[in-house]
Amino acid sequence: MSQTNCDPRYARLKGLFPAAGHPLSLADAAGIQREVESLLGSAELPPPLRSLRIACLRGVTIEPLVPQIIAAFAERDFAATIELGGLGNYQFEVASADSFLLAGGFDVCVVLVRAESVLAGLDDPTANFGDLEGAMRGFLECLDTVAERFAGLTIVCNFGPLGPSVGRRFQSQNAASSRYAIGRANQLLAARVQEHPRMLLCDLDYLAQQIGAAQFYSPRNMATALQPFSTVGFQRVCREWADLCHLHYRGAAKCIVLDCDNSLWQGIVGEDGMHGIRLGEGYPGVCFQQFQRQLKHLRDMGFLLAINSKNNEADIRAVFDQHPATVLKYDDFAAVRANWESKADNMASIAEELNLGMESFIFIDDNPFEIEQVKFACPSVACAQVPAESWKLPELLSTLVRLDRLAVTVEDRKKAAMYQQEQRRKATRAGTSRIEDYLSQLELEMTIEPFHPERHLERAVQLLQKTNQFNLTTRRHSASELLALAESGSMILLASLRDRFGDYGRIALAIVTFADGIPSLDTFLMSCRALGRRAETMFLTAILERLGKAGQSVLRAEYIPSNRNQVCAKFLSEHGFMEFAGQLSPDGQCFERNLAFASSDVRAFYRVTIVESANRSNELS
Amino acid sequence: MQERIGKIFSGLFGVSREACTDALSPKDIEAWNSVYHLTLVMSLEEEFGVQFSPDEIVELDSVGAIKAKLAQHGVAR
Repeated sequence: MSQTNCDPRYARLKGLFPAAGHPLSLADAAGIQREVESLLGSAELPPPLRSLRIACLRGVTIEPLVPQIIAAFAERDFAATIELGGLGNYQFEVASADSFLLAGGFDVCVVLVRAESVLAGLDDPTANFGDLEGAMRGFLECLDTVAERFAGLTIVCNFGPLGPSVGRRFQSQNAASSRYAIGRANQLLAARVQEHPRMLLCDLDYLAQQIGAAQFYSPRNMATALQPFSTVGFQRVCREWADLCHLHYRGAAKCIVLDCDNSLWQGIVGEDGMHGIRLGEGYPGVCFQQFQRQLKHLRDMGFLLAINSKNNEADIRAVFDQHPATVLKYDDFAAVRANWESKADNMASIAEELNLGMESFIFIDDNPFEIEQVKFACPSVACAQVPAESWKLPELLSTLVRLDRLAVTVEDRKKAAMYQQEQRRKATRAGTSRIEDYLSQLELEMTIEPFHPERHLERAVQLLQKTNQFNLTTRRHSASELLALAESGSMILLASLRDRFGDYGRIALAIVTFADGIPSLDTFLMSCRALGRRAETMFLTAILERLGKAGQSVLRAEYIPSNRNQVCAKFLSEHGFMEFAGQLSPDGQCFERNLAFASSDVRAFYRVTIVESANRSNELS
Repeated sequence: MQERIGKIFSGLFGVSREACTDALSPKDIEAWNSVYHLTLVMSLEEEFGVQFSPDEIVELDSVGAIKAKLAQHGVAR
């Protein structure tokens, strides 16, 4: 994030962090904590800070390291407060009806308990953990209760490695010993966390392995204060919490934009020729090949790839089509800019082609000049530089938090394939002069289904959180809010779209609430990848008809302008809604539509299937 | 040493560099309670690359005592 044009209060907070490459000391963290507290005391947080109330159920002392927690969250643009449960009191706090956890209005609950307090006898080399499921049952059920009773996000820390013990070699020979019980317990934990949609796992075991258990723990702190971690160890832990929240609340990046020469291979293909570049076959070519393989894996996880390179397109195309060691193929890229324009201009044109906001991109180049130029022109693009030493390249992508996901939905997996279909579709469009001709040959099909809490929650929340452009109200309902809306009798519909080029999955969501018996369009949004097919009109028409059949006579709606949703500013007035002077929410424009005239010419292009329940559907055409 | 200790006290407790005299003790700073004493100890260990024993931790009850203990650990005055 560029700090040149931001709120001075935000700039002051960021100024308290040490320069890149320097460690954050506890004294720095304490200063940051005071600043965050003062910002939280002010009327409004400076953007992009977001407030976050954290509760912590814990079996260890955390108090002396609270500044580290607040600083780690501030680094990720969260103004956090944390309330600690009683030391070792978590079971009571989970079960009790007047628990602070339920009363406090917390956004996040962190569970941090040591293996030693869950599994008795871990320090006994002769202990047998054959029935680990039985030994873990109480703790796992405790997590179930948290999931059931706490409406926010829960982060569960798994168990770190055990310290040195007597009879270590004896234990290693025994598969049922505590030596192996920790790993098995962590598997059980991961499986249980996976069952709860609002629960995430913080992999303490991985963090400890990365820096080494001896660095991670402090036996002195444990003995004197029941605080097992070293200062650097705990810093890793709270940074991981902040990273998980960052990914959860702000979502992953969507597209990786790549330079070619000295980024995807070593050398300059325009000068060295396709056979002169280094890719595969020994150092450093193997590192670039491994980097390409990682990018391919990220593509399979649903991230888009794009090229932004100063080259002749034919030269790079030859590498992707013919080089024996290339992992990436030309078709893997959703957009290609191989030309002599500025990379900043190319970024803008890629963003336009893919219909994505600049904050969705990560730009990777070996040239610091190009990176500075892109940073300057597009401050919300995250940039990363290819390291000068090629053996470091395979570590680059894992350092970028937003190139990760907390869950991969079916839609994500299909996304990369969809953009490829979109390119083919654009080619078709170029050959068709009239929009009606174009639509009628697309063989459009829409399926509309009522929201099903189990089957649709993940996708519905993803749409609510991520859709910026075609979104009338940009209400970012959380999973729990959505479930509450469904519970209270609101009409929640999802639409999925397919055409002869491919299946786009569920791309639109509408929520109609019935306060005082009057239907009101709380949310109407559509993923921008479905734009240009009048799917929004088709979906709205189906909703209007459905309400009309249910005996309703009007539908109220609002347009709440945001920085990103101008594309739907006229949507309501173009679809028979009349503006009126009411005020449902601040900044919102109110509209109302008579439901007597609900049909639209868009029906001519669509086959619509309305699913009424899991096993019954009726087709309208 | 004074400079680095001053930096820690200013970060942890918001104490000015001038106020960070050898006589400064928990009596003078409300936030210097038992919890923040551990934060202070860990900050000193982090800054000077030393580790105090549990007995030494109890003895670090003024800025002067901290300086003396750090000197015992071989930190130049």
